[in-house]
Amino acid sequence: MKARSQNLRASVLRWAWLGSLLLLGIAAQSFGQGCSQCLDNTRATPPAVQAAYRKAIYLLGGTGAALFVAGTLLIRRER
Amino acid sequence: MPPIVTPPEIERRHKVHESDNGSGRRPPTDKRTGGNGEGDSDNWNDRPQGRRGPRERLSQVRMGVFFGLFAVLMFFIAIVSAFFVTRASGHFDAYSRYVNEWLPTTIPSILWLNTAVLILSSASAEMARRSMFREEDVMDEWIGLSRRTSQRATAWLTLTLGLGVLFLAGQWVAWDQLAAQHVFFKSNPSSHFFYLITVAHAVHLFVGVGALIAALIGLRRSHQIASRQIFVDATVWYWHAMGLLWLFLFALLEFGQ
Amino acid sequence: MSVSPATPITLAPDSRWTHHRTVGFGYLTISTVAVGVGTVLSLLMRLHLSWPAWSLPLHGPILPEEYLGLVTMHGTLMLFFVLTVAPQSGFGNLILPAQIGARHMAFPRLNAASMWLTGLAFLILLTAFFVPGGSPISGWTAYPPLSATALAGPGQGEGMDVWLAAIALFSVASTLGAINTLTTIVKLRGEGMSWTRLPLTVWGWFTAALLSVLAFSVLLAALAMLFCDRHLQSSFFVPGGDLVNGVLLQHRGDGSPLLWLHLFWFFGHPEVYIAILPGMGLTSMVLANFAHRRVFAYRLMIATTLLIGLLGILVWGHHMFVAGLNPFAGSAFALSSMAIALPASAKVLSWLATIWRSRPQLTTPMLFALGFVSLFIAGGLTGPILAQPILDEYLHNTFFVVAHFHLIMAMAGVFGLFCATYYWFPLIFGKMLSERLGKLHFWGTILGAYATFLPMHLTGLAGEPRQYAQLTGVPGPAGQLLQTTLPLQNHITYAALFLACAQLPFLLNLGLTLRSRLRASQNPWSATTMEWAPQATDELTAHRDPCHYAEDGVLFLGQWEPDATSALPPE
Repeated sequence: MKARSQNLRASVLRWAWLGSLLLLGIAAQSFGQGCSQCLDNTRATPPAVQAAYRKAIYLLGGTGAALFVAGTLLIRRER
Repeated sequence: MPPIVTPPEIERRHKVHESDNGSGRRPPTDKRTGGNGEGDSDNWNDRPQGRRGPRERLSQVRMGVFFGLFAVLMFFIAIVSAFFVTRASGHFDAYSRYVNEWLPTTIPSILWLNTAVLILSSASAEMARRSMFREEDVMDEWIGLSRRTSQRATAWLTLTLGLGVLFLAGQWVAWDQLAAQHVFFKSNPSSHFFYLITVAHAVHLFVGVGALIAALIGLRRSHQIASRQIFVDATVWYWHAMGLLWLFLFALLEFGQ
Repeated sequence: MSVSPATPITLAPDSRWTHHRTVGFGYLTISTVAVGVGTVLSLLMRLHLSWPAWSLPLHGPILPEEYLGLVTMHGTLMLFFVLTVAPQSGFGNLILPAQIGARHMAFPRLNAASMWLTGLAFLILLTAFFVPGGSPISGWTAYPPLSATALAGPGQGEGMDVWLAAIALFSVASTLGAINTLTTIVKLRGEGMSWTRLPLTVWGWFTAALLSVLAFSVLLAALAMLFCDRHLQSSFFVPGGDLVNGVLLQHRGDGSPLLWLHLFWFFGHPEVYIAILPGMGLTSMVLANFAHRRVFAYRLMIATTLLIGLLGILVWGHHMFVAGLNPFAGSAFALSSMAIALPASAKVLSWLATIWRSRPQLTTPMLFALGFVSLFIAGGLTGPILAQPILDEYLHNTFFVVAHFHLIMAMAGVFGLFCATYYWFPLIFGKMLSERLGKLHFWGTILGAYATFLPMHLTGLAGEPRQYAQLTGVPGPAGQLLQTTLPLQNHITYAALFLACAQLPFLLNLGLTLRSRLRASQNPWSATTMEWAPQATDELTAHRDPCHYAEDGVLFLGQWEPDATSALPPE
């Protein structure tokens, strides 16, 4: 009985997290148009450089996050 | 007076031993560990510290090396990210043309040889590491019958050390070759990265060489076989990581410029 | 069980030099000196802002470049040597082994080495005041091209090199220390100390150490590249054809300061979480301790600690909203930054729920923990404001940002340190700090903190920029804008002086208590975590999770107690 209510609570919590992230994703802030400086800067940057920055951001952030998650999962194998 | 008197000498016959001394006719249990694999007593990690078995300190050192390798990986990932950005960067000249000054640095072909040397050194390092854990040899050495594990490991580690030093020498030759062609650190953004990446890797490998020397000394002078295993194991895992890292960095420098 | 006087943690047969208590004290010594120097620097800054013509005795008026030097060194000292060192390495080394039932840290010699390296880095940093040219002026963030060439300004020659060397050493030392902490927590937990029984303080130390391992390496890489730009004519961060003070830099290539910003802030943001996570964990435990309650949603608290750590790696772009990022990148970073508000709010709600309708014992550690919650809320509420690019566009580099991070990091983080000091003092030294002086200290500090930093929100909204050495005599509409903030400036300065003076009761308290002979009892706070157990914790088993208090609010059950029927009355 307790396990079922715990499972229910866990899944409600999970949906709450997902729901809030979804709400954040469609918030007005997510569709920023940028200030004039940013727009000018972006237009002045060739697409190759923009792509390079994008890949670099994914690489750095992705590796960092992946290592953090790996470190957390690693400890689950320990007693 | 009873009708029959048994003389004392005859009393001392062996009686059939009826009681089982409390063992319940079961094999003896080790109370310290919870007995015969009952529960999860075979998981030595559940025992108190210091009593978790011969691999206890080894697993701690391995974990430390592992987290250290996380840090080293992030270091090189940061440099690689900067590499990608700089490769594409440039400026607008007076005619509003976008000028990218990145001129790929031709990799001296000796680097292929160096890569092969480093792969071989990883192989020999692994041979050293495995020889430290071969069970019969470890038992013999632990008892004191032989020094086979340490001797084998010393031999393989010396080979690894030689190959590692050869790699570093080869890197030095590569830098000399580039300098002879007037490609210096400051010549071009691509050469910035070439030198930065190869020097940073060489510095880390130099630390690895230091660790190898420490492991060789430890094999000779350390008293516990567990410690000797740790010396070799930690050094070799670090060495493998540096080798693997070099493969990626070399691929980046060779094909990614 | 008899009530025995608290026996301070004694030195085990390990060498004194590598014992975790020695290492912890070493770190705390570094932090104490750093906080003293940093506070003096901040007071000099405030005095100069309020009275620009004021002449420092034996020195003369503070010149603009000296003001920037003060800003740089204040930030560097406080962030690196106080807020990264004291909560994580200082108190971690002192308390962590006992809390998890370990006999010692995993790599004692590595631990000691990283402490001495940190000390060396600190000394090297302090020499920046005395080298020709003085201390660097590029801020703790060291943006190029100001930081990339000695031509850029006074102090950017030798001073900047000294700064680079010190911070590079610090990065290496921190990484080594973090490796040690991680391995200790994962591998050296005592019997019965499972992951869900770990105190939240330890989870804070774990997450902060994991972030340290990942972040400091990136800083080191960036510093190495900056060094190359400065001395080897590379152009990682220096744009081609850059004219600095009339001199054309001959660096080949087209670097970009934006690249430095990315790399630095990839480190810089996890850095501030490293500073605050241990304090957050401690606050949960201290609130539960003195409210005699369970921590509300304990496992959720563990998850939020890890989630804050993970998200902290993905938000660095929010320091760069006005750096000229692609608006899409700005949106992405804004999203992740606002997402951090979720686990952070969950933590705040848990703190409040833990003490809701309880009758807490308002001892000094409890007051500081409550102060932490208060300052965390105050500083944290301005976080989501700054996380929105459109708002940050106006507020970036104003005193609004200064108010935000001072409230949440300088003040809440420091309150965490004070809470830790008052809480663990009886454990470490066997004596209790005076409650009266402690309460005086607390009220003075919290009033001083709010009085100093709340008005900065207003001056920031009015447009006061950061790092301006002079707010008077600025021509044009900008000057008029700054004029409106001047009344508040003096108020802030007086409040800052008051805040500094409010620390005197604390110093008095320390001095008097260390000299007194009164011994504290074994567990004066009726705490349930393992470090308060009556004997060395590596011989004990943890039987349950912490914070088991009886309904009557009097009986408690320590983690080390074998079973529920032998609950001790409080000491």
